Amino acid sequence: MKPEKNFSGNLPISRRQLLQMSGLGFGGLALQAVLGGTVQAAGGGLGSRPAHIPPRAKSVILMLQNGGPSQMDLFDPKPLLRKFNGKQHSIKVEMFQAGSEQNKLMDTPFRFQRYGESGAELSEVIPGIGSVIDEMTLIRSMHTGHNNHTEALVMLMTGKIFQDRPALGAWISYGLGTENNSLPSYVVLRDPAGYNTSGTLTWTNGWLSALHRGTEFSSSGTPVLNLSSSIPVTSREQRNNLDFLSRLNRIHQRRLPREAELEARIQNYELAARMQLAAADVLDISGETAATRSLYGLDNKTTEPYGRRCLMARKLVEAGVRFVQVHPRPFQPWDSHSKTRSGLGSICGACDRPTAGLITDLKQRGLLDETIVIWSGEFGRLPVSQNGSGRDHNRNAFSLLAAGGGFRAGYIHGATDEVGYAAAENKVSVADLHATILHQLGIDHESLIYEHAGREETLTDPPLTGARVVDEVIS
Amino acid sequence: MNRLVLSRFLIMLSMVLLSAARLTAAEGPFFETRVHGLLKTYCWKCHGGEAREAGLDLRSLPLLLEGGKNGPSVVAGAPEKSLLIQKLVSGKMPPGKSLKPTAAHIETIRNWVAGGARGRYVARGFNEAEKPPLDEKAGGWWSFRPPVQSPLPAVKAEQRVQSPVDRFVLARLEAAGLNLAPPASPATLVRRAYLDLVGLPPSPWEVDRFLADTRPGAWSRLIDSLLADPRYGERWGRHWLDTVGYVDTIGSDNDAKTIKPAPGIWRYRDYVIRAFNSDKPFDDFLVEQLAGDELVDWRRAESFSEQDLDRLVATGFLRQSRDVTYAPELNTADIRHQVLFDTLQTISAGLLGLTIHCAQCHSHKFDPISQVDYYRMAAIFTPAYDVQNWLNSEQRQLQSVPPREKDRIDGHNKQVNARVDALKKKIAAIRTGVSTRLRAAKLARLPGPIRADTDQALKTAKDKRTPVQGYLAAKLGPLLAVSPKEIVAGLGQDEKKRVDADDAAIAALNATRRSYEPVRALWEQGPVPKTYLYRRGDFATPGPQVSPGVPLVLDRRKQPTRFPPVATAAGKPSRSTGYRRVFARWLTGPDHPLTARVIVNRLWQRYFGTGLVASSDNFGLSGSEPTHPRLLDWLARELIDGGWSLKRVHRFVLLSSIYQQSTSREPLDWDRAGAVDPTNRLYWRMPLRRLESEVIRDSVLAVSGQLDLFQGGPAVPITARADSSVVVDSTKLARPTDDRRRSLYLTCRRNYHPTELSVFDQPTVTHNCSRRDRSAVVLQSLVMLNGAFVMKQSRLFAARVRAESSKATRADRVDHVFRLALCRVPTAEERRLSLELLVQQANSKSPQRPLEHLCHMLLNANEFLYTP
Repeated sequence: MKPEKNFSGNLPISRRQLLQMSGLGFGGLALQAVLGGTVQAAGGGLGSRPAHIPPRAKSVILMLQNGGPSQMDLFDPKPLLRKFNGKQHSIKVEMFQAGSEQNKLMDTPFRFQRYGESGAELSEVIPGIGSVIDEMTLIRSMHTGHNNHTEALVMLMTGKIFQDRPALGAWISYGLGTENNSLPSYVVLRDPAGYNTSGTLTWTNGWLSALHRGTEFSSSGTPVLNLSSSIPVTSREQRNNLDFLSRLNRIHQRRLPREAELEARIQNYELAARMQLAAADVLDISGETAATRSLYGLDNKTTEPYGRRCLMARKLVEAGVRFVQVHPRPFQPWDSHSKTRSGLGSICGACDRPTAGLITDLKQRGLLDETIVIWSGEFGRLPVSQNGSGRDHNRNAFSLLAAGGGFRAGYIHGATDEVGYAAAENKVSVADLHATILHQLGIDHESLIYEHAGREETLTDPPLTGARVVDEVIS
Repeated sequence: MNRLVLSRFLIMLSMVLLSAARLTAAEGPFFETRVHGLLKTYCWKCHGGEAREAGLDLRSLPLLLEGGKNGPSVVAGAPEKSLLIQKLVSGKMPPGKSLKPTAAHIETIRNWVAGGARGRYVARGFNEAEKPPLDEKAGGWWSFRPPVQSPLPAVKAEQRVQSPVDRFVLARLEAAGLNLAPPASPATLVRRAYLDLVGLPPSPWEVDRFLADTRPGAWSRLIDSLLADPRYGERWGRHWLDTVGYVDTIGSDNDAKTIKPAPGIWRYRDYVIRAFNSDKPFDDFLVEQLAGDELVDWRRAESFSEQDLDRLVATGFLRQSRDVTYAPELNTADIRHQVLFDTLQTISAGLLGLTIHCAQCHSHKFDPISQVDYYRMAAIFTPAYDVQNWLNSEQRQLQSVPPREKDRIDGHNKQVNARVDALKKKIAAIRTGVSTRLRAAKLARLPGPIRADTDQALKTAKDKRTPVQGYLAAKLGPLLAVSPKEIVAGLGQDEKKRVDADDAAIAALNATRRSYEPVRALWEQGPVPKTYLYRRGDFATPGPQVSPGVPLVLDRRKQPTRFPPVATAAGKPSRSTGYRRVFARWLTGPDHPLTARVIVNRLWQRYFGTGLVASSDNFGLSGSEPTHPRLLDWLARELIDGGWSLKRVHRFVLLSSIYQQSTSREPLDWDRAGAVDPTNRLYWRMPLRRLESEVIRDSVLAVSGQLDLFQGGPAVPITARADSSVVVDSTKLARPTDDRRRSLYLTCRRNYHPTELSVFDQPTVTHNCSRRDRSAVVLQSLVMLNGAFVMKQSRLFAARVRAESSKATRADRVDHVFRLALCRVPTAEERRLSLELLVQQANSKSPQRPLEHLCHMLLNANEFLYTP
């Protein structure tokens, strides 16, 4: 997988570099025909890459629940908080924002109950997740590196808190490409109403080639920005234009027949036309049965927006997209600094049913085996109260759900301390998570290398992070 | 005290003494085991993290033993005599409402002192491992030796030598059995020169003028006129802004919707443009950017000359790091340090071409740069970026006038305010009088019996009114109200005269108000802090103190670079340490091994796509070696010895045959050369280069005839739309045509660039950008094919063609389209295809559409996107 010397721009390009540059990441398969021969190194198509490890999964859906979902109100019951509600505890918590009360533990306003055959104890506000918990690994011992949203989100996505590194999806696109030559390898489905905190940073290509950046697909209107003409153009006019353009470019190319970049551009115009159809197809959910639509909560105003994105996510992985990132409503919906009951009630109300719907649907279609679904925020929250009814940020512990793609079903991994402040048993770092996801995709995290500024960079940086594949959570 | 208690007390005391005695033996606890963490929790906020109150820093054992202005904080083995223990035990520290240590915590610290205040790290000097390994191999690396001028090589193809540059390149080509490509055509060259030097295509008239100049020296004259063109500064200034990592915003700029402008930072951008246009000597340019504030006695100046202000503005170079400390919860020691470290990274990658930042945590793995070197360099900047005496990113700005003048202006404006307020009060009093009079008259018109009751009801507070009063107030209150209009109409002649006079006086006073504007500068604002080496790069584990210095491997002259001694007096410094000035002078010394090489290499990279050193921000042992070392040195020496004139170096390159050769070759030649040198590092043809994002957008506007060439000033606002596009915010334009200005004037953000720019690899600004990416992705085709901006400009392009060739034939129109978009006439084949397109796209409803399609496709043509 190690590239011989990665593509870095201005040197006249080799065929492999052309494959990396062209199109939206489907380089290999799309252009192999044009150029003949095989693709040898990273960044090409999936079929050409010798796997390090037999892959268990083909694609990833990341449900990025930003804001910091509260572990002790959702996934990690702590009876001690009830017992000592309002009282001081011996732990010294690391507070971040004003309004946090060091001395006051706060009980959860929710009841916990057992779900599924595995009997996992979960909050009453996530019955949907409860209904599919037997398909999931629940990791209660996640921890991360920063208490601020941006840094923690950047860390969750790129492995470090600094903002110049590629996101997980970009690394995976770099490593595996895509199986669909009319769609990008890395697609982002955010709420059309606006960005979440840190916006495009969570799908950045960092210093990898721009074709590994997440492409935003809109769940309403035109799926991809500028996919259709901003001024009405008939298909006949469009065809005439493209034919003319192609001829013009071919004339230009006669002088420079060996400039592969020019050929890639000529192909891109045809690709653009293909994408128009492929993306429209993904957006079109009219062919889905009423049962499927209901599964995702499309029959309900509250769950419809997120449900639509979850359904699109399934269609995208079905179509061969490698990495799909689904966002909840804009800004930071899980950020419960106050009013835990109503705040979490509202966001769970919008997201819980579609989450369950996606897992169920993937399972029914036999896609869950080859699709990793991750549900995670950027950090957790404190056991003490803030503003009377909320909780401040907490990097020392959060909970994460992983389903499909060989993750163990109905399994709980790790534990926090008695009040849920810090991961205590079987701790899992962000780097461990990344290593494990890559492993399930058939990639050895220590060997997925990109050379940048004189360093051999990896997603997980094992010498620094000690990243390891968490064998316990995979079957 | 009763006996029992007393005896218990004595027993306890003896136990404590006993345990203390035991602990004085060698097994006392270590500082690092527990004490460091406790001090971090309870003391650091004020003593070592974000401040050093009383001069005390408690981050490491040596610092703690050194103590603050009240003396050492600990006497080893004697807790009672230790200031630290006294303060903790008495509860004086931590003060006020801070989190208090428990008795057990205090006991732990006390035991540690009693046990001899031992630490694993003893205070010691630098060990040998921390010193840079100046062995011959590393120290003798080509880029650590000063550039030397070589004699010009002899070449066979003398007829192709137009500039000394050609000799170096030809010599290598000929050695490899290769030669140059044929010269490019004049029509190609004129477009190439315009795009490279001013970032815009030439107009058909500019092309004609050049082609008509058949006298010798036409090319040289063209180059001179373009180097003198004010648009040159915009084009090459933008390159420099890449090196700097310029943005128009404060902080990390993560939220698409929220733009936090850095007030006045545009002055730095304009300074850069002016500097390039005036060909400011590059050494002066660097000195001003690194130490402009130290060249001006700005603290005591009565007024600023243009040059003074420029020098303060120039330090905006050092203000480009992401600094989120304006947010109180992010104004923390770690983030403050990051601002300092990021600034060092920009300086080292941008100016030195070294990856010095690796030495933040450990001595450099490849280069002879030690960790000590890193922190010595940090010490040059800590008096300005003092993490324990921090100005947050909003506070950290000066004004466009000196402090004294600012005080005078503030004082003057305050006086104006007072006088205006007094006048406003006078006017208000007159109006109140009129209002009372009018109301009394209205009241008098009410029927007698309810007159007094109504008045009373209205004077009673709303919640205290009786039901009857409430009724009266609701019913009759509006009748008695006096409107501002009525007051104006009701002014008596004398009253009106007085109000008018006062209004005029206010207007006159307001006209005397004076103002100043923010300048994003860097300066030293407090006593000079001590700087420490941080073990593993962590500020929580400070090691030995370091003095300012430059990397030893780069300072091997007879007289090593010395930094001025510092007056250690506390309080506000009346002048700077001069550290940065010394650093800048060292950087621009005549034999500096890197500075000149790095900048001429960047210049080469802009012209040929790749630098002579391909890794333009890494000249170290892990970087690439130059393909033409003697040429690199020759250019570097010419820059230094030619008075650091960059325009002079441009001319050497632009007048060369290398630059003027074709991008293409006959297929056989191409294949033969490609077999020897597949990546064209020997320059057997001119590399084909895609235009940068800004040049693409600017060219579209130039071709459509819409470009507004207004220079300078605050950035044009942009906005992020819900559909993920980013566009010029047309609702907030200062000038109506601001949306058509050159791209470098659009608000420059870290992440959210206007769509037309971002798809063409406008870099995300984390630190800085040494080389633009040049991807060829579908989103680019989509933006050019379907995007609103390009479609609108295509229509305007077509309208322009019609206006400029109203009486022409169709074929002439086609020619004009080609001349505008591609700066050449079409071939017969292209003309025929174009005419066919016009026929195919005939549209009875809108006859102008076919031409719009043609114009639109020309903007989509590959040729349009490349420097020919």
